[in-house]
Amino acid sequence: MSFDPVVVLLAAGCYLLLFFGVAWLTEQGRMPARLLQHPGLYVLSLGIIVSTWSFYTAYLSASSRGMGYNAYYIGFAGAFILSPLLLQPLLRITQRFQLASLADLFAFRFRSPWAGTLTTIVLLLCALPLQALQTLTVATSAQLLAPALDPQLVAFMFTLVIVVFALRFGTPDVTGREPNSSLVVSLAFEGLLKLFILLITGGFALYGVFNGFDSLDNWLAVQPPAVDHLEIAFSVDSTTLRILMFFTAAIAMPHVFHMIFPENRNPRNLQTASWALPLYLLFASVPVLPILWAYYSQGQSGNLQYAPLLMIKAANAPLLSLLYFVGGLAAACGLTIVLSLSVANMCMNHLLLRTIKPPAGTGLYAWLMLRRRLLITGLLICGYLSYLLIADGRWLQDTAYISFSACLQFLPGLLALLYWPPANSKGFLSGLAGGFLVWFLLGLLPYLSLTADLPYPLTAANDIDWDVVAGGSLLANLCLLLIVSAFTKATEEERKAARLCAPDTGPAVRHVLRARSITDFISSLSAPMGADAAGREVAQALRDLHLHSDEKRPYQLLQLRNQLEANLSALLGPTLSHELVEHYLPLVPATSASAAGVLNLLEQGVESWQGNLSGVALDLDLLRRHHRQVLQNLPLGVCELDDKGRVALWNAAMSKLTGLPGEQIIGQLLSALPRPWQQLLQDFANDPHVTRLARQPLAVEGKPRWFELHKALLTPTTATNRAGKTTTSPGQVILLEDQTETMLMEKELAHADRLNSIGRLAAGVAHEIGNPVTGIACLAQNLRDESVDPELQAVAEKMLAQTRRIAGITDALLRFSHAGTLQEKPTRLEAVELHKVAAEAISLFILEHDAVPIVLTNGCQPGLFIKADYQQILQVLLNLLGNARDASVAGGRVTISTHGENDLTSLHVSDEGCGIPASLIPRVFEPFFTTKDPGKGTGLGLALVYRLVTDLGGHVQIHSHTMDSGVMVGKKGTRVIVTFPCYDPGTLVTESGRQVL
Amino acid sequence: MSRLTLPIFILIIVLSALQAFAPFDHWYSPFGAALLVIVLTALLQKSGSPDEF
Repeated sequence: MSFDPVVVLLAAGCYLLLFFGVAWLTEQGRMPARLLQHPGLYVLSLGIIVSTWSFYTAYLSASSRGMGYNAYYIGFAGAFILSPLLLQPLLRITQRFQLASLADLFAFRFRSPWAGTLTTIVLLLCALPLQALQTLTVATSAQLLAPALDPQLVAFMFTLVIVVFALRFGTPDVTGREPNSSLVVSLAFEGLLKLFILLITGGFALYGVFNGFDSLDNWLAVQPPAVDHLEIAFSVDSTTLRILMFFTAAIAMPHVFHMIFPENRNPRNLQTASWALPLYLLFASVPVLPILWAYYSQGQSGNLQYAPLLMIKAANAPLLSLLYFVGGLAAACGLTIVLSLSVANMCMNHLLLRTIKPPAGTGLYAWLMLRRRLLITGLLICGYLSYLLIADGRWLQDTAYISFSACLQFLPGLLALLYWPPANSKGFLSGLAGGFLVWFLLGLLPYLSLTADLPYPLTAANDIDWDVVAGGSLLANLCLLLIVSAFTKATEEERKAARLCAPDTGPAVRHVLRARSITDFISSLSAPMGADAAGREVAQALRDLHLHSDEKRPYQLLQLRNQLEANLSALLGPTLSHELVEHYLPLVPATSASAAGVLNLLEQGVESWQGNLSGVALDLDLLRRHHRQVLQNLPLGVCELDDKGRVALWNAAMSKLTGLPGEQIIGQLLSALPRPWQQLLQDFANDPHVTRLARQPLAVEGKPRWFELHKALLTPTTATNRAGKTTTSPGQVILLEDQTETMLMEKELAHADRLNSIGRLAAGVAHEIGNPVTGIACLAQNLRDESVDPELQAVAEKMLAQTRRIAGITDALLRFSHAGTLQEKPTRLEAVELHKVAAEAISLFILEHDAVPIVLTNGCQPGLFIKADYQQILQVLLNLLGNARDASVAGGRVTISTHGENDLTSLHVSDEGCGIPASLIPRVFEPFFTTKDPGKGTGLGLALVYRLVTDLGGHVQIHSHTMDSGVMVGKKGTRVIVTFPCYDPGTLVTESGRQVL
Repeated sequence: MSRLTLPIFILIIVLSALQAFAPFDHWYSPFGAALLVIVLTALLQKSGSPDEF
């Protein structure tokens, strides 16, 4: 069964169209956001591990090593199952410092550009054979289906397609800051398709060739070597070393690293992948044996790497043949694209930028993008040329092993990076160079001599022992790393980087920035990058940290520096970005370890270890959190100042009292605080003789408040461990307590006490006035009864009325003098019609001829009643009218009106007079408080009104508008509003149950 | 750390060792053991933070 070349090319074209289409749809934002954020997408995109090895090479491996073919799957799956040991710590480092490749990681950890460069060279040598292998399998499988096809033409077309895809969808953002969703989604689609094809083919082998499990078991029963071979191979073979090789490849292979770390935007995805990817690999590995046995059962034995295609062809299943070919093509596509992108990135950062200085200014990004694209194209062309070297396909398995054994050279470095802080760049470089040399001499050189068909091949048996190559190079690498690191000293920069990568063993050296503002940042970076690019990067870092452009706090500026280095690392690689930041934004050692910002930096560092601490460290962290919680939730405001006067701690109560959030204040100098806090706290902190300030008045948002302050000095403390001593420098802690409520209560108490004294005085006065008034009343009564002159009788009657009024006032004074409520001191409660009482008040009021003439209006609604003492309400009105008249000019209008609302009735006395200043309103109800000239007012009028009204269960309000700084606020005059509960005359019942009306 | 974490972790190692070195009855039994290891890993991930290893 053979295909027409057009059919094969058409199948490939359809798949590629679909692959490009998925990437394009994602780029256009047509994919649902929920799908893009799903961890399953990330897991499927990691299906890039299922490359042409799974589709072709695994069969060759299974034929010779039996179950040993699973070393590939066990190695990769093992790396994910044990992800907490390697992958997750590495993910934290790569995401925190924006490291995009293994070369970036080593250059960052060992603070050596050579570490990055050597890693790049080794990985480049890994990548080219692997890339050639992908091209080879695509070309050969196409030729197997359609013998008329020229494999070199297919290989060239394949390379061309990959170049187009990588340039179109692989480089959306030169900064590497944005996730490349197009790539991830298209690879996930490819991962799904590959698994489907492998399972379908496995199913076909089981049911299409063998007629099910029973048939396969029967066949295996008569073919014992096939099963025995599997068992023996797994037991005695050096599979463990191969597992280790593939385990390392899961981290070190550039394409896998790229998909695990830079393209993973959510650390939780890796947790899902730790079990989901091994499951994916398990499903991908299971079909290998049934397919291989189906191939054997057909009587075939040669060309084992293409066993699946040959088996399907022999079984005469053309559609499945094309599908399997498409699966192999998909596997090759994904790997080649990501490999070229990641290796190009490494070459850019660690080869190109080390030799060519990028231009400063606006052209920087375009320059970088062009170089990156040229590198991608160049790498893919090199991959094609490498394919030409192995085009005969004889060394398929060796080509794969040459790549994977080279990757193994990074295992010692990776372990040292995370778990051995004393490792240094000299040890790493020696180890890598030594291992690389062994690999080159024992592996690469013989391999090249075989593939190039030299007349004198460097290996006698025409076969390379890859176990010796891998084991020898690994041993040499490990020994050199350990020995050289043990006998050489790490630089300060290396120790610092080791602390960032591994758990800390000693106190870190603290630094502060020389740059003091954002402007300093931009001007410093403008020299190497140009003002435009510098401004853009600083603005991006500020956005990342949610900081403002006027930021000046040292701790926040340190954070900004770190963020800038991380962002530039994604753009220029860690070596160049570190050099830029170190040179243009230098640090100086902090003079004290207790500087506010440094303490926060320390705390942030401890926070980043959350969940990763155990033993004493975990206990200490719990203790720290407990103390922090106590401080934060203390009901008193707590503010800690360092020796420079910067705020190191600002607890929740302090934020509540001052209205200033801690995150804005921590790191600030006290002098930078807004008023009035700056003055209060700074004066208190700067006075060495005062440790307590009681009842400090402070106007906060125009309202008076009182605070009590306490202060304690913090003495230096020293912590000692094996790594040395750390001493904190002095500072001080300030406590702030709000005393406003206590002050107001005390004032109210004093006020009540004063009122009581006044009341007692008033009672005495009332008693003394009562006697003469009674005499006057008797005389007036006699005069009225004995006189026949009607005019005299009328005068006597008015005298009697006035004496009754005086008696009412003295009664009121007596009531005023007694504490208690209406219920305790019942008076003659009756239904009082407000209109009537207002009319009487006006008629009495106009009797006073000497007073300023005013216009009095009774605007009360007739028929509106309240439950009160008639005389008391009359008294209230007369007092209010008196005040209104005193405030009015001649001819001024004073109105009495009533308003009913809900269950309340209010009586309004309004004038158009001079008004009462707002500052005096709270005092007008105090007895003997008056603004009138001496002798014109007693200051008892409104106090009496207040007492009478509150005794009746009502309340009094004053609305007054006066001239404020020459500008009139509202309508001129005063309105006194006396509010009583509504009353229905039909319900009034006295204490004895008798209705009054 | 969840009480399940350590036993599951130990079980994974034991099963992995058995899978790698012990003889097996049927050709697909190693895959079954691998599936068990994967299920245990998933359980481990669900039972607590992976940082707690």
